[in-house]
Amino acid sequence: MSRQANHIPDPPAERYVDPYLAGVLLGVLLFVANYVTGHGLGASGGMSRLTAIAVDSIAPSHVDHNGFFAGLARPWRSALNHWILWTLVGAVFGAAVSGALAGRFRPQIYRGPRVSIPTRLAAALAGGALMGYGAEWGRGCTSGQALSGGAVLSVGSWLFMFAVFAGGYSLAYFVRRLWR
Amino acid sequence: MGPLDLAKYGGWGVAVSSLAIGFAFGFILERAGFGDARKLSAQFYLKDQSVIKVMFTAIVVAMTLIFWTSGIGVLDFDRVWVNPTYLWPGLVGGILLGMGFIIGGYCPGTSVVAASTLKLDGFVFFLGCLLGIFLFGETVSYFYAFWENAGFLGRLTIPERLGLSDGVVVLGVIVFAIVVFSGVELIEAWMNRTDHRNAATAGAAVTTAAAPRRSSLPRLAAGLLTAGIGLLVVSQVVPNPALERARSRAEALIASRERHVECAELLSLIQNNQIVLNLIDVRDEADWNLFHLADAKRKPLGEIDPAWIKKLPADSIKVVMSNDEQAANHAAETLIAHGARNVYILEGGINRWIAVYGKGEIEPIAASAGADSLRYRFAAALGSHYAAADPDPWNTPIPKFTPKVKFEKPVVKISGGCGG
Repeated sequence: MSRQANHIPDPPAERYVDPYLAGVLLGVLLFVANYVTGHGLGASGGMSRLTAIAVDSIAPSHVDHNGFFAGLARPWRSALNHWILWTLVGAVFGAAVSGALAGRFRPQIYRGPRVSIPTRLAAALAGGALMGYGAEWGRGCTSGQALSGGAVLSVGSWLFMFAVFAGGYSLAYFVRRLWR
Repeated sequence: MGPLDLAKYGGWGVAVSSLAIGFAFGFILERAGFGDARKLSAQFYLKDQSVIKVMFTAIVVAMTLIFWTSGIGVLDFDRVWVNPTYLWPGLVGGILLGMGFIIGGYCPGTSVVAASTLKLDGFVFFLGCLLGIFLFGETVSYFYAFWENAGFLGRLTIPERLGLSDGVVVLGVIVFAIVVFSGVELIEAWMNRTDHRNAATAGAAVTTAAAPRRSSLPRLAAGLLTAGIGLLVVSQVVPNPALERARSRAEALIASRERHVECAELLSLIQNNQIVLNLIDVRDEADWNLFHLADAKRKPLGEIDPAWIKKLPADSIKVVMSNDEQAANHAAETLIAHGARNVYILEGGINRWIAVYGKGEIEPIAASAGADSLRYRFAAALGSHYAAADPDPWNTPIPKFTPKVKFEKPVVKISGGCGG
């Protein structure tokens, strides 16, 4: 019963924008991005750069011996001055402003009704790690590969997208305690 | 014509535009409810399929706009980044990513949105992503060859793969999307109907996200179908303006005769082993059988299409030839208009070549010059077995010539995508 009590109820649907409308807006944005910059959107690419730069500042000699990190982190200044990091910074502000306008800018932990906070956070960390690992394998995430590549009809991006849904649905039943 | 040249504004052009695009990206995702792991994960339990609706709508809308603008020559699709296809690593990555999604509740972009609105689970997920990327960097050396090569197909679009026109594929994807959306709504309605009933019997408030709401799918579907059919019609009747412009530029370039190389220059190119040379002979098979240059490849005029041109190596020098120049000029124009680089024409064609290197081995016949037909009589259809087809590099002096070939480097592709 106590678990029920501190569970945050599902948000009422009308507080979020109609999904098709959000999709149209996102699609127009994706087109504008392609028209202005010649490429789509992205998120995990920024994270790879942040990771590589973090490793470089902690253990530069390690980066010297790792082609993957060296390719991303060096030279130091140019590694930070990449469009995807600007996009990431913009997204942080955009999300914060939207959240603030809708009264959603407040500390919370989103979780299913039957899961404890430590378990939820452990799952978030593990899921994130799997996601980060997979995004590097797939050379992109839902934004940079599925969304952006899908819009320009890249063969690989479409197969990637189907694989994402296959991966999610195949595991959903086994982790249902996290969400349902 | 897009994409815009941001480089001319210095580093700030990229920074400001990316910042603004990122802002809108984060804003829209948050509005859609994508900063909420419960809403995102609900996709995989079929009750609230907003993820597929938002993502797929965005893909289809952006695709329609991109191919419409390319079709009417407002956007240069060749300069738009298309994620290269790495088949097998992509499938491995996609499956891992989907598993991470259902365990952690976010994807990289949405975890940024969640963290930015102070959701601790989103922030922890974000840190998890960094950890995963770190682990990838530590382990990639064990499977590097597979990751880099397995099923690599380069820049490949679905229309190219299927051999269909862009308009047909765009309309097909639109129809597919509408079918998916309709199916998804039926599933949602069914899942939530049982939910409402349970809630009613338990006397509790209905808490599922997908409260009944009038769907905007019919309007979206109508709009997309109109745009898709419109594109198909437009691509049939309106010649691609970008291609028309490129064609008239190519025509002017050829008329300037800057791309016509003398026989002597071609011979020096043939003897230069440091360059990759594509000798493209556009004559008919009978003439080709009688005589052609060693290492030339025959490609009749009618078979020179965009798909073939795309497959030509970017870093080779292409020399097109016909009996005189007419057909070669025409072929070179098509090649240049479709973006082939380093395209040249053999001045005077095969007739001039034989006049210079035939050495009495091949006899001339009387025929009017310039008719683009062979003016020599051949003892037999020996093809490239005549000495003139491959002049002896040691004993054929190359007279002085004005070099015209300037090697143009392939364009550096705009980098993009998530992979960094």
